[in-house]
Parts: sequence; structure tokens; C-alpha cells
Amino acid sequence: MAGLVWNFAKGNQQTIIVKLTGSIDEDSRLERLAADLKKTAAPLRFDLSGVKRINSCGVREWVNFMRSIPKTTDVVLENCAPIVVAQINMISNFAGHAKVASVKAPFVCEACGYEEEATINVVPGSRPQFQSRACPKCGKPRLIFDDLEESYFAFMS
Amino acid sequence: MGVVTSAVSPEILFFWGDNKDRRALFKVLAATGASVRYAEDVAALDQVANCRLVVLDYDSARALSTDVMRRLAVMPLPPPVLVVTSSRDKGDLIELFSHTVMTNLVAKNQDLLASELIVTVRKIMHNHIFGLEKYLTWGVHTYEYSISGSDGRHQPMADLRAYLERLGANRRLIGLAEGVADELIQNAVYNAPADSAGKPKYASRSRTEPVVLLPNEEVRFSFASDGRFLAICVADRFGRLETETVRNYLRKCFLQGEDQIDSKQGGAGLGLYYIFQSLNHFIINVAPGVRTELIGLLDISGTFKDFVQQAKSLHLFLQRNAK
Ligand SMILES: [Zn+2]
Repeated sequence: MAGLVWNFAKGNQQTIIVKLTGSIDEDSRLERLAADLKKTAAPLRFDLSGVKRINSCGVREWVNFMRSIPKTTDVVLENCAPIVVAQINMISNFAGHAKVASVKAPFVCEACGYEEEATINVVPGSRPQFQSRACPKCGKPRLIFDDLEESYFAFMS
Repeated sequence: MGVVTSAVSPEILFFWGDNKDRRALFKVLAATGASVRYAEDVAALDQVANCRLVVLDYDSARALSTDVMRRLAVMPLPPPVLVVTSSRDKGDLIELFSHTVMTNLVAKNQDLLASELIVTVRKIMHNHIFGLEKYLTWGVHTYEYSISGSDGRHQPMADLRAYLERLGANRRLIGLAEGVADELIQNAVYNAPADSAGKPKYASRSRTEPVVLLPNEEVRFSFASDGRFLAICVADRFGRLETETVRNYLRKCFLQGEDQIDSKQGGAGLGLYYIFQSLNHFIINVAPGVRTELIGLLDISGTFKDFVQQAKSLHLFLQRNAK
């Protein structure tokens, strides 16, 4: 299995960007990431666009990991992949004290099955609504949001 | 000569609102060969001596359905109870899972899936509950695996993914299917095996600790599709899963309280919830002490949006006289 890998980058104002890629499961060893982050009090931004899978054991690892980050540290989740958005909606403590800044919204063409994702910034109190638009593959105006707005963005309410 | 329904023929009692579905449902239930009786009042429960199944309309006869389930809950050996609903509401599911007599929750989407009802009634009436083939069109090819430990899940999961990619299924639906396979197999490998005294052997182990199963503990994994539904099936040889456990875990997880995730050793207690949330139909067949078979059906014919718009079914079948 691919497992989970992470790398660090510097963001604005001493923020540390942590990009996670792969599966969050029982083998993710998130305690190692927690140990690395213990050395800093800088604001954290987790880029979760590369998370491919999360299983039930992985959720527990993740929730424990989020709990290990001091409440005084500013934490942001960004570019959350659809699988991450599903967890935020299903698991009460998944986001911990983090703010969800942006998510990947899934789109599908009802005519040809083409799929793509677009980054949506989360604006508190304003749930996005999507109209169908032209499919970049077949040209038909049938590219739709591939979920229900009220359930996909339920975490905002 | 016509078929005479004798007094000892199995009875289905159905409590239903006054709507157009009633006649359609009557036909479907009667098509199984069972004798079907429509009832308007809880008192009907006392008038039928050999009631083998109770069918309830949770949408338009909710108060009556609740009364019937409460009445059945105090009976010594209540018959299976099949509840039909179009609700996707979390609060409704939490309430339904709190009824200990409910064995079958059947989703009503645009219309009732006659095949699902017929299979369900047939399984209950004939006490022949196992097999994923009951849920797919005849003629499909089933892929089968024997899994002998926790590491054994990776190849079947990769094969399942490749298969669904070949079929052209939606990417997120493929992710759901893979997740269901993962949870089902992990559950069967870690939670099912017990020693001769019935004590779980591996359930308290950390899921990072690999398990190698003995030959008599091996898990069967299979999948197949008829183009509409993908069926994923995992079976163990222990038959230790209790329907009460299923209902309690689902209820607890839907409540999303502080105890949503188990902090004990072993699994996180979320597996059944994840599986249910990732499927259209979740079927649990148990022959106590002999075999547990969990089957997931996922409609792979459409988009993810089509999937989330549908209500879900849950079936708990217990084989009588299993040993
Ligand atoms: Zn297209």
C-alpha cells in the first residue's frame, strides 16, 4: 500500500504548510508528524488535496493527532479532498479546532462521465450553489456538481 | 383447481397507510407465495397465530408502525419486522435503530425495489439466507478469494478497483467500494475468530499488528456486478455477529456524540457505520455459531449524486436452527 507521506513548506507569516498525500489508515504513523510539529508554535495549514483514502482506524488516528495540537495553535485545513469532506461531515471531532478554509468540489458530466474537481473557498454562512456548465471533454452543458450541496457543505452550518 | 391457502400457511401482516403503494406492495408480497393480510390496527397482531413477517409503512403510517414495534418488543419471540421508508433523515434512522425488533429496513426511492422485497421475504420464509447471487441478475461472474490474514486484503482490493475502473464506474463510487471491502475484511479478520470457549482471539489487537489466520479461520471475500449493482461479500466461519451490536453501533455513530469513536484497543467502532454510509443496501446474514456473511450492494450505474440521493436499506437475517 502507498501509505501516507507528508512534506513541509513555508507559507506567509511563518505559517507551516503540511501537505499530506496517500491513505490515512492504521499504518499512517501520524504520531511521528505530531512529534515533528511539537517543535513549533507556528500556525499550521494542512493541505489535504492529496488524501486518497481514509478508513475507520485512520479516522481515530487523525482525531488523536488533531487533539495533540495545542488549542493555542492556529490550524487551517485547506483543499480538502471529497473523502476528507465526507469525514468532516460524518465524524464530530474530525476537524478538531481547525478552521476549514477550502475544499475540493467534485463535478461530473452526465453525458460522458468526465470527472473533475475545483477548489472552493469556504465562506462562513454562504453555502455554494452550482449551475450545470459545459463539459471540457464533450462540450455538452451537462457538467454538474456531483453531490448534494446541502449535505456536502453541511459542515458549514 | 386454484391454490388453496391453508390456515397454516405463513402469514405476512402488513400495516400500511392509505396510498397507492399499498396495492402494489400487496402484489409484490403475495408474489412470494406467502399469504398476505392487510391490517389497520395493532390488535391484528393478536389475531394471527402464525405471523412470520410484519411489514410497516414508516412514511405514511408512522405512529401505527411505532405502536406495532413497541407491542412486538414485549412479545417473547417476535417475528421479523420489515420497515419501508423513503427517509434519509439521520434522526429517523437513529429512532429506527433503537427499535430492537426491526430486522429489515427497506429504502423506498422513486419506487419500491420489488426484487429487494421478494428476496427479503423469500429469505425469511424459507430460512435460506446466504449468498450474494440472490441480489444480482443471473449469469454474472463472481470473483472469489480466500483471505488468510490481515495482509491478504491488499490484492483483492486492488483487483476490485481495477474491475470497477474497467466498468467505468464513478471515481468516488470506486473509493466507496474499496473502503467497504477494507472495513469488511478487517472486521472479519480481527473481530470474527474466537477460541473454543467463544472468546475473541484478535479483536483487542491493534490494527497495526498483523494477524495470520489458522486454516479454519480463513475469510471468504467475493465481488460481482450486474452493471447496476456491485455486490461485495465477506464471510467468516464463526457466526458471532449479533444484530443488537449492529443496531447499537449504527445508532451510536449517527448520534455523533463524544463516544462516536471507540478509544479501546482494537478497532475504532466505526466500521459498520462507514460500511452502511457507503452502500445502498447492507445485508447481514448470520447463522449463529456457524457463519456470518456481510453483503454490500452499491449502485454503480450513475453518478455520486445519484447515490447520495437514495435512501438506504439494512437487512439483518438470522438463520433459524443453524446448528
Ligand atoms: Zn462530457
